[in-house]
Amino acid sequence: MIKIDSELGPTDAVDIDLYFKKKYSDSGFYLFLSATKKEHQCTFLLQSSDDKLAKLYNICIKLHAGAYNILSLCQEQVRIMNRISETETDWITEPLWFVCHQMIQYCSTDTAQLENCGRLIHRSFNLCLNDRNPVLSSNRKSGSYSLANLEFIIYHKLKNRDMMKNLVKVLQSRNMDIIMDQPSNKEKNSIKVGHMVRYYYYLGEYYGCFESDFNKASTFLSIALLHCNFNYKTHIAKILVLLVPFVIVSRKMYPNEKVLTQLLSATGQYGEKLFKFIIQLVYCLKSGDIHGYDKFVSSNEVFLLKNGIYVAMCHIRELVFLKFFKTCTKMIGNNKTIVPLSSIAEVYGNYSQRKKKIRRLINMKSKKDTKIPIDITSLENKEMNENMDELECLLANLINKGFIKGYLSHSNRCIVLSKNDAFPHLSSSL
Amino acid sequence: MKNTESENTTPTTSNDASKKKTLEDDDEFEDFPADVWQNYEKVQNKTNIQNDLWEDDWDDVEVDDDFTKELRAELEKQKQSQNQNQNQNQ
Repeated sequence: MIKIDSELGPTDAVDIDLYFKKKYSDSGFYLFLSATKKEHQCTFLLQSSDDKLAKLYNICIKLHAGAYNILSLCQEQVRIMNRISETETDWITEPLWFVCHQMIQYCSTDTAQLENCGRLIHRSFNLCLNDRNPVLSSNRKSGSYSLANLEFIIYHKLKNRDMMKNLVKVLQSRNMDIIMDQPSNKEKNSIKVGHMVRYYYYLGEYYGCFESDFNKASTFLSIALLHCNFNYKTHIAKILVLLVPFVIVSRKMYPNEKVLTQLLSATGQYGEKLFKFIIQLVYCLKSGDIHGYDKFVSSNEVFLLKNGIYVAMCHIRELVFLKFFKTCTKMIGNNKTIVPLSSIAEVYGNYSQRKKKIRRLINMKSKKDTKIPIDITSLENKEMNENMDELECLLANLINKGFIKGYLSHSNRCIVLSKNDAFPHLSSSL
Repeated sequence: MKNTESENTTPTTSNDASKKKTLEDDDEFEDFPADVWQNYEKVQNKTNIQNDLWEDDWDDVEVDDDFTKELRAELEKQKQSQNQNQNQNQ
């Protein structure tokens, strides 16, 4: 996220002391911290006799020379930067993020390595979060968001949900899980927006995928989407794959096709797939095609699980069923308030398919034992009863949630709908 | 602490094609590139997204397609067979 200006030539000298005196950082300072091998480039000068700075200087020079043990040097670098940061103001948080981020780049997927890096970053995070500087504008706390993001990255790599939960708990306890104000300084702002988008993405993902709090997740993810750079379509796609199902569940709203096209244009294969996926989802929701929806979900199972939206899709099924039921009552029609469940159970149970199943059952049985006669009607009746039981269960849940106004009569196997507004409008604005 | 470094690490600055993974392979929310905020065009400013992205008419809109046609036909069939049954019973 930080751009390193490599225009500095061999005759240039970068005065490291100056950054600590003036309390700011620029591309020269990041070039100094960067672990890439440097040949025939500028020199770095340090005059301060401060122990910690001298140690940092030595580590950086070793890295510039092209060390073989890059990761352990990077870890040393973070460790010493943590110590240096304790006595510095907010200017240090961006360089601190830089060295932590750099360390992650050199870390393999080895669990022990990742955990080591995680601990170091957690230390950086804490020393920002717990800064007691009463002057808020120079308090290091502003940097804790970006470092929390790095912790999220590590925990994702470790696939450790508990550690994520602990981090979110800390953020909650500091009221950092609310939408924060944007910094006023324009240049500062532009760097921080990147951290912010990512931070809200992770919180949205956490609440939606792990806690099933789709309402909170939708709030975070839509803020992330609004502030995302329009030209970074892969990020937009990554946000939308979560946001769309979460918004359908929590706010009962679906995305407009035109805007979606605009957002997902030129995203390549993934974007195209996501676009088709969302369009199909919206179609099922609008038409109430419950059988189509079930097929759609089972054929996309891996995609749904990978993206953490399987649970949300199960909740959406309820809404597709609601639309299915509403469509059926309309078709049976004539503004009847009493709707027998038998006819709907037939269409819901995908009658033709079940009939095939029964026939197969009969065939199997008849091969084994031809003497016992099979009562097809009783088998069909059994199926029918099961269908009606399932229907009653689904409807009871919808009535309980206030999605349908009415009551069920189990003995008559029918639903009695409210005379006015039996299907109240459900959406709530974002 | 381990100081061995394996080959499968990639430095941030490298621009090789292998870094350009598709989202499918990568579970992660990728880093924004360094210059991303220089031509920062906020989604919010670029589209009328806040007003136009979300629609709420799905529960009222009437879809007319193969599925609804089939559904109507199926329900109709049922009505008739029920009527027949009733007539027979009478």
